[in-house]
Amino acid sequence: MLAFLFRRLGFLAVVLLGVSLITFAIAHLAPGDPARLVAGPQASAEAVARVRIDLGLDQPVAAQYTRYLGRLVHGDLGTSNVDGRPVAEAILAKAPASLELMGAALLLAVLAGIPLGMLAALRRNGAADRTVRIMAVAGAAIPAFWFGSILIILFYRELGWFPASGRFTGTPPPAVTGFLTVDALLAGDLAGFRTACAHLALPVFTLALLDLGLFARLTRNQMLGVMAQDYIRVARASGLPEGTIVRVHALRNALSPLISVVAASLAAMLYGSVSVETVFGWPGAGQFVVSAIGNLDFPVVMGFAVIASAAYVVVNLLADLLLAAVDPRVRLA
Amino acid sequence: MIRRYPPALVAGAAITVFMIVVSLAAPWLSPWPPNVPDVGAILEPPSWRHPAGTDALGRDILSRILWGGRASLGVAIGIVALSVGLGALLGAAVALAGGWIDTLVMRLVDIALSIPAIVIALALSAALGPSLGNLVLVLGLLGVPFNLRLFRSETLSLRERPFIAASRAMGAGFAALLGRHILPNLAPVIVTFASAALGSALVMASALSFVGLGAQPPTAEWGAMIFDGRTTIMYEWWCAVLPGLAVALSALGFILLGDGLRDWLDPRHEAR
Repeated sequence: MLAFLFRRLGFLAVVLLGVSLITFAIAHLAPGDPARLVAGPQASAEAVARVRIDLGLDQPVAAQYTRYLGRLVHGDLGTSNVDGRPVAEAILAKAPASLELMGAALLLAVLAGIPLGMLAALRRNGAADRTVRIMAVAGAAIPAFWFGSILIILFYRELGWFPASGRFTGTPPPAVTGFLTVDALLAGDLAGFRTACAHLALPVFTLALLDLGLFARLTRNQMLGVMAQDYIRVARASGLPEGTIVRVHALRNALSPLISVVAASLAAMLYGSVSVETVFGWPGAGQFVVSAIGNLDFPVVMGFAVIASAAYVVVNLLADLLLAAVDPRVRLA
Repeated sequence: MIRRYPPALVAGAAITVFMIVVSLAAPWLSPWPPNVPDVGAILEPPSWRHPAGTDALGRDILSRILWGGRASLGVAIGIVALSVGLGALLGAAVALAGGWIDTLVMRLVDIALSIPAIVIALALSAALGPSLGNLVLVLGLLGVPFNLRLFRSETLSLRERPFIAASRAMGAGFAALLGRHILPNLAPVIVTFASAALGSALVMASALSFVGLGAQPPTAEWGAMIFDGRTTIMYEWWCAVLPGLAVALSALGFILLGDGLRDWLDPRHEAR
């Protein structure tokens, strides 16, 4: 296990270095002279030249990269072109809203998708199986941001069941975790908790749609594969009840590959949250980055790419470790 | 024995052909010019005059959807041509070459696949500046590692087949093996994956277009139309809902086509 851990940590370091190289290269592709952007449009040629030296832009590319990397390691992602705030601070301030949305969507997709997939596998070609098949195709074909608009028309305008934008109505509870649902509960504010949940409902369902179909179909196929194995036949032949066979023998073997899929689905969800936050006016990092794109605020866009990529890589490492812990076959590979 | 075509293949092919033909025929089918504003017809609901209504500038939505198909489907086809085409070529070449080249490339692919491509795509298109050409380039190149790995493993099993050994024994060189034997034998897999990939490329491109990284005004493109329509979604729903329907329908067609082709070409899959 220890050797496995070290190998994965080494790979993590290489991947993060790759991310830094890519974002550095992209930042160099961005149009406009960064020194001019910092100095301002009215600055004299000498002032721009001074800023260029200050920023180290007169140095060779390799030296610029080491400088960039050194800053990244210290958590310095530069400052916003628009308001001069440190990028890391600005994005992290928006992170709880995004994490609450993504976490709730992932929870919904896992808690609904896996049972649905099991039901589909146990009753092949039944109603659940057909639902799973339709959901898997629909989830892949329907753009999330468009589906969100349809939900707004249906559940906000027509039925009035759920709010269409924002995270809260009224005075939000005192910030502890930044997750409004949790903060409301901590403050003992049940009405606030209900409001926070109601605001979450539509964006969470929109964001969960793609993964719900994916997880359900995968669970179904895994279950079908496992249920056809010899050890299941042996369990059946020894007269164990079907429920025990499914729970004790099949489930664990069927579900362990899902750990990697759930972690990998985070990439689609990171992007999905960008468009879904835009549709629902959700004040998170995704909406922040979309407005940064509109304002040509490249440090913010790059900072988002760095933070999101790093988070993704770390989550996938944790998923690998979890998989290795529950499935001994992985450690030996 | 004559095999029946899987229903998914028939439905997928029908939808795909319909969407492509209708988009190609946009100049003849569109009732109105796609980019000419009409201040007398702003945000009109669907009617006989404007079957899909008009947008905030008074442009006919149906005409823009028809013309937008050229941009949106064209972008999807470009992305897939680049990602699947280059991925298949490199994957086959790497598998055939073997040795340290294979090891090195696959290490790089492992690294590339550990990075969330779509987040990099977002940053890269923002840096390059929004345009449909850049969208094709960015999403196409970022799809290469995934396809490279896929077609490498397909080629590895092909490489062990007797006819490859026979051509090798007859003195076929690397290029001849690759071009005359490996790639033609990969063609069914390439077509199957390409049609499924068209669906996801279309949805992904429209999603990037939706945050302003694709088509620039006044170009008609489905993702950009949904973006333009989102502010009036509450009452003038047709502006965003109908172009989205075009995206969903086309993507559905591509996905069904891919599923159907897979079942048709590889009957073993049908059992699942």
